[in-house]
Amino acid sequence: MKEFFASLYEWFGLMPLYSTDMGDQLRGWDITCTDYIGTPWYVYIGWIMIIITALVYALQYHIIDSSRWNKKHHWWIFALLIFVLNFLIAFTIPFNTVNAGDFCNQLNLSIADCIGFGLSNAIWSFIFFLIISTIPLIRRFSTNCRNTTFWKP
Amino acid sequence: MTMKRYLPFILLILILTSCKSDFGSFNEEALTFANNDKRIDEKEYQKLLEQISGSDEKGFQQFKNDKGEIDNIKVVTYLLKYFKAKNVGFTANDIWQPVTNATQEIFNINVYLENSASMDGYVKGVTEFETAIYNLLGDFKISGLCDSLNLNYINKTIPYQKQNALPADIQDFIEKLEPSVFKQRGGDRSVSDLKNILSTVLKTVNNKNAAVLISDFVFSPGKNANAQDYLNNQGVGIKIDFAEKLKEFDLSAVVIQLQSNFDGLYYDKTDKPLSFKGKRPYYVWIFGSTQQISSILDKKVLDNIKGGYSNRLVLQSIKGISEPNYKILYSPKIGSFSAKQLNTKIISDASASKDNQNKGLFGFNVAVDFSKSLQDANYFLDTTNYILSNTKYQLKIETITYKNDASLSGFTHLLKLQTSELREEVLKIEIVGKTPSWVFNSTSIDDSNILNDKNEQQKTFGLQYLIEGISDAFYPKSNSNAINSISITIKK
Repeated sequence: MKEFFASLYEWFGLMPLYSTDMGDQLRGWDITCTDYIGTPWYVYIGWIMIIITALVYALQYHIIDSSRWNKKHHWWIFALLIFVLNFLIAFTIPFNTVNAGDFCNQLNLSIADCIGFGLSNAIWSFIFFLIISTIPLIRRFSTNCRNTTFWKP
Repeated sequence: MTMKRYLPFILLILILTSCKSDFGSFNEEALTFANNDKRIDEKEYQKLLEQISGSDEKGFQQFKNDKGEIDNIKVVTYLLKYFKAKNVGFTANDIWQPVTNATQEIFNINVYLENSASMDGYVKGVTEFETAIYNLLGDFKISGLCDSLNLNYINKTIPYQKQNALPADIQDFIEKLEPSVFKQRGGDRSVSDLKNILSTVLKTVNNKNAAVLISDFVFSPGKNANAQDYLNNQGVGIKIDFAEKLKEFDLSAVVIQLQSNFDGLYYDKTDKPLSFKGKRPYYVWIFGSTQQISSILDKKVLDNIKGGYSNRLVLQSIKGISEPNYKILYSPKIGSFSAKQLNTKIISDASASKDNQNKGLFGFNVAVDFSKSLQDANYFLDTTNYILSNTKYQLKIETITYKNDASLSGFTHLLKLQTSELREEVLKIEIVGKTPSWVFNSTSIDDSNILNDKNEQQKTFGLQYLIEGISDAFYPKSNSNAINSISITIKK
């Protein structure tokens, strides 16, 4: 699971938005620089991203499920909410670690790495929201938003 | 409906607050215990042990041995490292640890002080020699290692013995010593037959008896002998004696070189007496089983000698190559590699540097713990004692002195490796047993001008032949003589 999320966030090695040192920190490289036995942030943040996105999706499509919130621009508002929330979570956690110096001193971590990881998480949450709200099979259980996607109505 | 609306947010909060691994909780709890009263007591320690035994998480595996039992030393080492990383000042004494039932093997220590005439200058008046040896013997007596401390003078025979010496006997043996007492306690003091002395002492060494030999170790070829032939023959004879002993016994030896004021007659290679006053080196040799020598070194008896010692050499029988604890550091490095397999001593995804400054170079550091070795820490700083399987690597060695760096905690030396020809391989680093350079620097082959040559005054006639003879027995030139080995797999 760790490597699954790692390759996702590191864009399969094609377009990493942050340094490999940040990647090691998120894999759980521990504070004593011994092994990947620290907190596996990739897994935690990955699951949080999936759950938040699913919850916000559920909020729009199944909890609010209102005819006043079923237009495409409403979809984009929820997408923005997901993007911002996930960015903040993925930025704040490593940012606090970097600020506190609570990481292996052999890693070279910067604020730019935190922003890069926040962006990476935000983009994946957007993609995930796009996918689950595009598949008709999932949204058909909604009463008022069953036809709401990013492009219609 | 209200509940249904808030359910997603309640769930979200629950998820966010429950993100903690068992190992993370362990760390947090240990830190809380440490911060509470600056110590971890028995109850707290037991709680931490319960957490370790109750989880199979990867982080806890480092505390368990092959049988899955918790190793308390590993737990304490980790906690100290972790607290250091968290800037909590802690020592091993602040952590409660279970009492181990290991009992210390005790053995007799037979001390042989060479009393040939050339030693008189070391005992005239109050000398550093007397103070240091008195201090050493006192430490042996109270170390808890010593069953019975037996004192002897030795030359061609053993003319004086004191079994199971009491503090007053030690004082009489060395502190109150004067040349006249040396003469009075007799024997043939005319020559230093070192081969014969070593052979006699060596015969006394066994699992119940270690031996300490104190001498200036200056060979006496005599007036009519060819000095070079004499030294060569003595060297060969000594080598044979030690080789025979090594066949039947797990022998180890420590040699320390000390300095003392000297006032008396120095006998040069032709046995011509020269009146000399000044500093002269002398030596303490300790022979015993590897276990006995290890116990003596662990007790720091030699390190506590008043005035200290100039050089140390440890010779150990090679029963097998030991692998010290070591770790490949992720940083600093030249070029790049992945940390993914570092814990299994594998450098993966290695590539040479593309920077202008280090273009084409690849380098990394290895932290090694040599503290369990019998050898002196300085021995591991000498690159000539290392053999690399790939000679294209350059090696530099430093002592680890950054006490506040948690990542280097528990390691003594830093090996810095660098190459311009990176390739996939298993890089083997061997530390070999050999005669250290100080022996050659301290050797004189012609001491006839000792009164005028300051350098010569700090040297010992024929020392190299003596030590090389013994070293050749321990480390035959036909063998690799590796005492420690480290392997690092490098994958591109």
